[in-house]
Amino acid sequence: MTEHEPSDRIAWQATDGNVLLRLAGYAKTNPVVANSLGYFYFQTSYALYPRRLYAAPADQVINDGQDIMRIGFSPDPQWLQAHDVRSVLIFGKDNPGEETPRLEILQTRDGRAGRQTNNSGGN
Amino acid sequence: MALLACCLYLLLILLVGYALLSAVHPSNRMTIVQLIGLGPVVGAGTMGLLLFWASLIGFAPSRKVLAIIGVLTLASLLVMKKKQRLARINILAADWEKGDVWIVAPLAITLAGLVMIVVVALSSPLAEWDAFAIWGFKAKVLAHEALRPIPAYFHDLTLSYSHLDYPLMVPFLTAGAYAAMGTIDDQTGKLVSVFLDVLIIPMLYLGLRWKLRRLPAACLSAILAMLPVMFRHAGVGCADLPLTMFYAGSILYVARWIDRQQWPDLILAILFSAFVAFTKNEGTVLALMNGAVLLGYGLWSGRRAWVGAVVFFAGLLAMDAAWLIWNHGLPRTHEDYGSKLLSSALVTHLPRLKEIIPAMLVQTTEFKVWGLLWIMAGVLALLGWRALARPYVLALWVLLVMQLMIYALAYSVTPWDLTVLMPMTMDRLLLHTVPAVILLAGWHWAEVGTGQRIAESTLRENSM
Repeated sequence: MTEHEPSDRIAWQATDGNVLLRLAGYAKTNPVVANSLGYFYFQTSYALYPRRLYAAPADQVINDGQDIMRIGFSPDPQWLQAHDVRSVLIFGKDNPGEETPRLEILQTRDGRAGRQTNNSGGN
Repeated sequence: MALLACCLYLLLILLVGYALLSAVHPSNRMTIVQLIGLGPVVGAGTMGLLLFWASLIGFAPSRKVLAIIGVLTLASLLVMKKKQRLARINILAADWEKGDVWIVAPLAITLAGLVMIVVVALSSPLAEWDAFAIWGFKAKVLAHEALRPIPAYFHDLTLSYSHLDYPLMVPFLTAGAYAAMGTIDDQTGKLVSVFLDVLIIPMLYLGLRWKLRRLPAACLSAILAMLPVMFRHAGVGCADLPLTMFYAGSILYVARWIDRQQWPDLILAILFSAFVAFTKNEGTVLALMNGAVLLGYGLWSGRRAWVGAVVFFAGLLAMDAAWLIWNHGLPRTHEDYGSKLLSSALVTHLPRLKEIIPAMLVQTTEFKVWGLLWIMAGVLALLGWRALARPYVLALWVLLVMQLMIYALAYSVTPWDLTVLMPMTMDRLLLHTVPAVILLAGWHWAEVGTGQRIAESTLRENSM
């Protein structure tokens, strides 16, 4: 598997709307993952366009993975709705055994919420 | 189907280039190599600027826009044909000379290098960080939206890593391919990147052939085609080789203007310099350095050369004004080399040159990156030292030294850790100097004797 495949798969799975990038577990603070986080954010932003991968408000500068960790973006549901965010991409693990990155669909076309995909891929 | 559409787009670029060359050199003769070396390069630069201007007035690259460019190009060609102003195409610029049969060997090596570059490039999608994060991303944005109204992308700081202010030549050319294909297919779209990247070889061959015999010119071109640094950076989807290719054209025609002071040479120097400035930010500096050398020569040489320098600056400004104005208000990253090089930071960071210059010197001796290119160029410069008496050779040396100086100074003001940045980027930056190095190697070789091209009087007319 090449490095860009997780991003391409996520872009394909997140069929509608924009995506929020949420950091979990070690990815919130561990500087070791900053590089792979940056690569993943750049690649997924590219794969998703013209849809968006939100990792910060538009006035916050992101030049690398460390910026994403520093900002620690966690918008409220109103913000998500206003920005047409339909899924959350989780980078890192809250619990052992979880896959990363993984995609959670917030709202599907038929109105169901909270479905989790079995997306796999290293970071 | 996408591949066919992409090929048609490249054909359109070639036609645009041929039409423009015919306009610059009416009724001239052009060899096949000149058509291959110059036509697509001039066409690509022109296409990039045309798509930018169209986008500025509200038309994103589309099949309609390409069709309009195609119709206008064909109409221009028909008018020029009717008035017998089309450039005529010859097979050879000069008769075969003794020993030219050996050209088969360097030609085969060059072709092998090109085939390897094309195959490797087209077998994968955009994988380099800069390729997708900067250039590919911009191409997607430009394919989706016109520049009027300005797309939200260009003011979104969460995408700052993609350098919102970077020039748009390569993204527009890629967006043009997406428009032709009717879809965003970055793997097929890499054909544009490969196309732009390999054009440097015929372009530099032309520059070498200006003064050198066929065989040594072909040998130097083969060395260029097989440089490890070429394999590293060709076809990856970044803007470094397109910049290098346009820069090769600009310095060649600056040198020719200095040598012959013929207006078509100056026009091509202006065109290529404008393309350089629209390809990467450092291109603006390189274009201005071309102008500075022309101005210096003009003040030393006389009125015609002086007027030429003024015309150069006016032409450059006219072609890139829209870009400079449009780009002016875009957010810069923390790198912003342009501002830093014009601030007091330049002076305070000068001590870092003690670390940078030795690293640059060491880099030029890296066999795995450069082969023996720099050493060979040095040896040829020593053997053909008499070439230094020629103003165009001297001008190229001045350009090379200024380019190396400005790159060293850019490193000195970088916000990044030099020990990390230099190993990652130095081969890419020094790649930009390859045209000057190769041309100097060839033009010095021409003074050694064996390499010198036969007297101009025995050649067929070959003024392009």
